[in-house]
Amino acid sequence: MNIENAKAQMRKGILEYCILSILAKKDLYTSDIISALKENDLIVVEGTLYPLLTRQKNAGLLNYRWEESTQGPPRKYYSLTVIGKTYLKELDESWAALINSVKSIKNYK
Amino acid sequence: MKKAIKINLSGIIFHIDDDAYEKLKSYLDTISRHFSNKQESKEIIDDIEARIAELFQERISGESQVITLQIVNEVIDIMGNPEDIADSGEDAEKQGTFHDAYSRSRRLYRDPENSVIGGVCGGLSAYFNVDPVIFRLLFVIFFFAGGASILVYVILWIVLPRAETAAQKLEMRGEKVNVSNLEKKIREEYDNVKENVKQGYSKAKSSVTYRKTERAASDFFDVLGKILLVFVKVILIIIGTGLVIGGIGLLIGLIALPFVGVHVFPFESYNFSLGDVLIPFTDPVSVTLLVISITLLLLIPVAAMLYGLVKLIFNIKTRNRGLAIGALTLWIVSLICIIGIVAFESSHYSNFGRDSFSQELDTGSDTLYIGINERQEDYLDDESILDLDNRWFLLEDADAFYGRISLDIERTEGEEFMLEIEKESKGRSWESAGENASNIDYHFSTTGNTLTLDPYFSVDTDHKWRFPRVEAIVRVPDGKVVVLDRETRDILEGVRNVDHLSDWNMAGKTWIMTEDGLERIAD
Repeated sequence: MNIENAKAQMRKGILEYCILSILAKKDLYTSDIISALKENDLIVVEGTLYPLLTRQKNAGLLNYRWEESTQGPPRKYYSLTVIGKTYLKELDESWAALINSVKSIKNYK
Repeated sequence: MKKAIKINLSGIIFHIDDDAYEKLKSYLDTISRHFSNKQESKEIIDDIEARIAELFQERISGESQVITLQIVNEVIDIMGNPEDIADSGEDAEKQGTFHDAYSRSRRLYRDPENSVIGGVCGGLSAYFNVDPVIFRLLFVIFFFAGGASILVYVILWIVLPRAETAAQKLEMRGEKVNVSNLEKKIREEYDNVKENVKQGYSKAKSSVTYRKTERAASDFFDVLGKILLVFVKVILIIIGTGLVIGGIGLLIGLIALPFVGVHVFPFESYNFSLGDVLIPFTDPVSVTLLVISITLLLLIPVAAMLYGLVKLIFNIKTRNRGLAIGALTLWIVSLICIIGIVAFESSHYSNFGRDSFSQELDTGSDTLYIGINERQEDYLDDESILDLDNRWFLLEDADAFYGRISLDIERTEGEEFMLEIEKESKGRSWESAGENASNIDYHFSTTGNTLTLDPYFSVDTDHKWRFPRVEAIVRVPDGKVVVLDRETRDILEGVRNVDHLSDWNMAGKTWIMTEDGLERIAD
């Protein structure tokens, strides 16, 4: 058992949920999502995010549009679809339930 | 001084150092090759490239206008190593199948890196992990020994795919297809190409003619190979299609076998079905079961071969385990069914029974003429569809089984000619065997001093064939004469005579009974 590995596995499990949560507030472009996740120590390297985003988009949870940028290549702005929103709602509920469960486990006598 | 290259990354032009470019290219290739889904892979790579372009832009402000190896390394650190990226793309379930399907199996490919003509020997040697020279030698030896190896080579050339991608090359060598191995392989490839370019360059300098010859030779083999390939492919497809059509014909024939009469090739004049042939031996239920089982027993391998052939010709790569297991099970069940019925049927032949009867022949003279009923002989001669041991025959209308009788002539102490008819049969028990024997239908007639025997007895199909035999025994008193018609030669069997003539030669002659057996006298 490796502590770093265990931590990474934990993060990986909730990463999908976090991406959807970030996008629930407003549409964001990939680098914004990355910096949000990085600031909160949810990802270490950026590359891991791209396959996740593509998968969520292909699953119909996300949508994107192109926006021109003055400084570089055109940017992909992601937004939640209707399916994505209901999906997120369910994850919210299950997250709350999970937190409760962990709490009650910790207080278990 | 360093060479710089211009690249287009997500629509933006960058100047990048040679070494930095190679590093970046191999990094992106390694990532993209790991994703099984091409569409997905392209999207992910595009996103990653766009991000890298952004990161590059942040780093070439002002003094430095060129992307260096150091910048590439920095960016790769930010993006993460290919293993992590690939890992987050595949979910756990998918990864399992990915490993099962690709990592352990070793597959046969043609090896373009290690080829003289088509890379077949190179691929074989990679597969078996031996020196390619061994295979080349074997092919050459077999070519001179018989020439078949050329055909084998050409077939392998066509059948085996070229190992094109790095993943295929790893598979060819039986190495695990994981990200780090892929990266290693791709790096090797780059080095190889670089080396080749350099070598080609120096060779061109040192010996232009050598390089030209080499190129021409390899071009020649390439073109020749391609022509040959197309040619042989066409021929194989023609042969294969022929086989498929023939196979489908055979298949339809086999399916039809139980239901309708089939023209079986060597017996074109006959028209009978498998059921007709079996019905004299057993009951209709067993016949139906047997016919279905035999049909399946033959049908399944033919269908399987046909299926394989079609797949081979049209290059279909599907694997249907359920179908294969189902077919195999059905085949085994058919086999068991046949064995079971045959074993059960054999119990009908376990006991022996006899039904005999004898009568005095009132000839009114000392001479008895023995002949056969030639009308029956003619009728049976050329219409049998089944011939067991040249003794039992089944006719086309299959209403009865006919059997040849045997005729013996023995001495009697009595005063008169006697005829004894012994019917014998097998059966499940003593009683049923006796009953079977009495159900044998046999006729003869006497007119004056002539005895006319039917050469055949019959058992109709309501009473099954249970090894029926009929023996006619004519008992002759001492001093009396028998005249054997020439046609009796087919039914005489083991008649004792002092002249030691064979049964065949006894027919058509006149005999007198003595104490030691029959003796030939002048006609």
